Amino acid sequence: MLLLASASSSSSALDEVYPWLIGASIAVALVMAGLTVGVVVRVWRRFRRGVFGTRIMVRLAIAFALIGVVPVALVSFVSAQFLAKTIDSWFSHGVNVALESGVSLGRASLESLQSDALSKARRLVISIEDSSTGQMIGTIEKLVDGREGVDVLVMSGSGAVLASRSARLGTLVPELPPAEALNRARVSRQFVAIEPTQSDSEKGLQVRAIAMTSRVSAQGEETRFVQWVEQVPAALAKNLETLNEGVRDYDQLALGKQGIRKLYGATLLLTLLLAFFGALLTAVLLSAWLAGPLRQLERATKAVASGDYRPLRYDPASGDELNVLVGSFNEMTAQLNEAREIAQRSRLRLEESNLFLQQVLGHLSAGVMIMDAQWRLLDFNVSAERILSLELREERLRSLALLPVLGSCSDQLTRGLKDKEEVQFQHETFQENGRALTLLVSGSRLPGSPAQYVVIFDDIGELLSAQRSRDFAEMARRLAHEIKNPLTPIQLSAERLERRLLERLGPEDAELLGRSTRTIVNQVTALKAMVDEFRNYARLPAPNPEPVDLGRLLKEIYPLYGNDRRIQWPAESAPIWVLVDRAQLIQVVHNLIQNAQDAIADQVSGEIRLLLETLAGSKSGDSNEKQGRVRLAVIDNGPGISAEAQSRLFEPYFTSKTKGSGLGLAIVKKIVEENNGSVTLTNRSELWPGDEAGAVACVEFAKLENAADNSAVTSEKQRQYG
Amino acid sequence: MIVLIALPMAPSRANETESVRLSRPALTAIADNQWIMDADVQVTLNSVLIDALKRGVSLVFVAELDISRKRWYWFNEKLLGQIRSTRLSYHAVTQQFRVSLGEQQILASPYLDEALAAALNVRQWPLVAPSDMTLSELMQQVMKNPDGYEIRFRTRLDSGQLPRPLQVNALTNRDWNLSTDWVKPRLMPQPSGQGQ
Repeated sequence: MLLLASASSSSSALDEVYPWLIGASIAVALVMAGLTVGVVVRVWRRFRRGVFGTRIMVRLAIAFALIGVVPVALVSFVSAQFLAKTIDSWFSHGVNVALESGVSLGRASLESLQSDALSKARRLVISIEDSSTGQMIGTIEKLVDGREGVDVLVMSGSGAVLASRSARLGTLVPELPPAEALNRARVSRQFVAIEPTQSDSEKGLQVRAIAMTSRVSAQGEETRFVQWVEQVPAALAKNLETLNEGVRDYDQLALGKQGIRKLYGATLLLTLLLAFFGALLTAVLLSAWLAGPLRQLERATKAVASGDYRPLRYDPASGDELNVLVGSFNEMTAQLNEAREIAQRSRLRLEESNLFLQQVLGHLSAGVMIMDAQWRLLDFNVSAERILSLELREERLRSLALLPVLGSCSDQLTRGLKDKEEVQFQHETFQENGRALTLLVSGSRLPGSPAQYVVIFDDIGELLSAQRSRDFAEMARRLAHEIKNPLTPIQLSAERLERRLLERLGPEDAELLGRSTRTIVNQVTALKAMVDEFRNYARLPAPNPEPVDLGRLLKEIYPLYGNDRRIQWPAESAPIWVLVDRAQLIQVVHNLIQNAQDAIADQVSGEIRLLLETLAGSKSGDSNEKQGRVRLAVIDNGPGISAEAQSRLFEPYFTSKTKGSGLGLAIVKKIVEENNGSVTLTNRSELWPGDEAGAVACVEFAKLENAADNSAVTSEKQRQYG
Repeated sequence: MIVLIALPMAPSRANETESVRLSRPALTAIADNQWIMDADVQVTLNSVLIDALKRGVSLVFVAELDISRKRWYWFNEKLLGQIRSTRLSYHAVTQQFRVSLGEQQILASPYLDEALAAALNVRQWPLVAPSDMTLSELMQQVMKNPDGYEIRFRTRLDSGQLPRPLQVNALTNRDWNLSTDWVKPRLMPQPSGQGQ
């Protein structure tokens, strides 16, 4: 640019490279234009897309561009105006006229010199027409009359020099006229011209005038030329030269006016363009540079939001505010990161402890529920669901009073916990299927605000029934002991009475006595049997388990019921081994069949079905996890079991039947449980939904997988029980 | 855009070839190791140039003569290259056209045709031998293998010597560009020299 400017203003060696300079400037301007347009378009696109930071960037860019472009445009405009006016002012009309007048004046003076020289030459040529060479010299000298710088030459038509006079002392013969001039002189008899002369020091001018005369004489036509060469006075010549140069310069300038205007215009325009694009580019880049850290911060903020806590690039040496901001941002993210890690750690710890608690709760046999201050269900454990046989998951956040099964004790709980920390009570309720449930409910308020409550409940029905059977067994044992002792004397006494009195009484009395005595004996016998049964229950011997094939066992029992066509026995199958006390198991089967027979006693088409099946091992089992289970089911199509009876079926002396001691099922349960089995008695519809009425009694034992295990397990079991 | 640029160029180029014509270029041997170049150049200056000349702008005409060996793989190797520049100017006060060759003024004439002829016609322009061989060696080589060498000559107006403002015009205006095409001069070796 500087080169361009200096080339425009001064003539120098830069002249030659000027076109290249212009070209280069145009190229640079184009490149910058392209670059600028590219950058601006890119920024604009991003602005349109709403990329963060571009708004402020664009605003800054516009501001910078205005700051840059407006002054440049202003200066350029003023310069252009100034330039046009200035260039025009160079060429005033007056100067032009003056120069032209000068030129005319110069020409006039030269013309007068020329005509003077020509007239001298003509006079000379006429005056020497007849004179000899010697006379010629005199005539010449007379005409020259002491004027300086005059060369005179007289020559014949053939080119011979007849006479000459030289202004310069050194040269005797002045220069001959050029052939061209002579030719012209021959044609028009005269010739005059101004010629530049070149001396060593300076340029000069001379007037060359040639006159011709031809005279017909005796010797023929005689032609003579006279050449009059007169130096234009040096001062005049110099002035003329100066004038010429001035005119030339002025004319050239005028000619080049357009060019100069173009030149300056182009230079100015290029400068303007370069400045404009430079300003624009600088503006955009500068604003990008300013907005860069903002975008970085924004990106980092987003990164932090999505969990990326890497610090930004920070230059501690630079003290500018944005850098300080970056520093604080890094500090903040570091702290955030630390806080997050701490939170994470504590959350993990909490989760661990929660998990632990969950496991503890899950393994707790008691049901646990956690309630919030409004007594809504927050959490619970598996046992709670099991005990209540409810899907509690769907009952979350439901008020306790509205919960099925447990809802009935809500009043008691809320009232109890209003002013006490803990409350405990026994609660009788029913499951949704109508089964009676005896719960021991204890509630306690958890410390903290808002208050939370823990309700722990356990099904103590089984506990109670176990308690009852133990009590009963004890009672039965004492009763048996107390009752059995007097029974024999009573019977003996009655028989003795009969024997003694029979002979003495009349036939009527005798018969009465006999009848009464039989009644007494029979009742005593029955009483004895009953007492025995009680005693049996109370003193059930410890089981002696051994491997038993259930199918075979059933086959052994079969003949005892051979005449009862209502019983369907299971089809024969592969041996199913269980580890039980054989004799006790036989009693269990007897009792169950007896029970079923009683159930269908009033039925016209009653039937009993025995089912022997292997159940797949379940994961939720306890120690027999890997083992399958064996189930012996006795199914009848009797009236089934009423809901009230359900929970007390296995309690001693509980019976729904008109006869029987109520010990049958109690004994079954006792035996089965002592043999590590389980027994259930339910309605068929409960086990197999949709089935017909009737009850099903299921006895389950752990299955022995193979015979090889048998001995080992047996010995182990024996050790255990021994 | 291209059309716009091309349009004004086409006719002016046609004018240009009409306005300057080169005839009878010849290289003549006048003695051992002495060769001269002769050529007639007729030019009709357009009004723009005449106007410029009348306003005192000097026109510099350059005659260029190159002898080079052809090389297929690169630019030709220049063996001899010489230029002759004549300056044509107008003296306003004396109303004369003046022609100078170098520093020496060779003509002052009121007639433009005379001046142009003096400025453009090349008369007995001696060739200067290159540093590494004599002229006759060079010319012998050239004549032995005419296809392997290139001799070319042209005359043109040197717009680089114009005043700067006019150079700008010369860049954009074809009127200012005056050049003959490169031509191959006729070779006239000794002894057929018909020097005057």
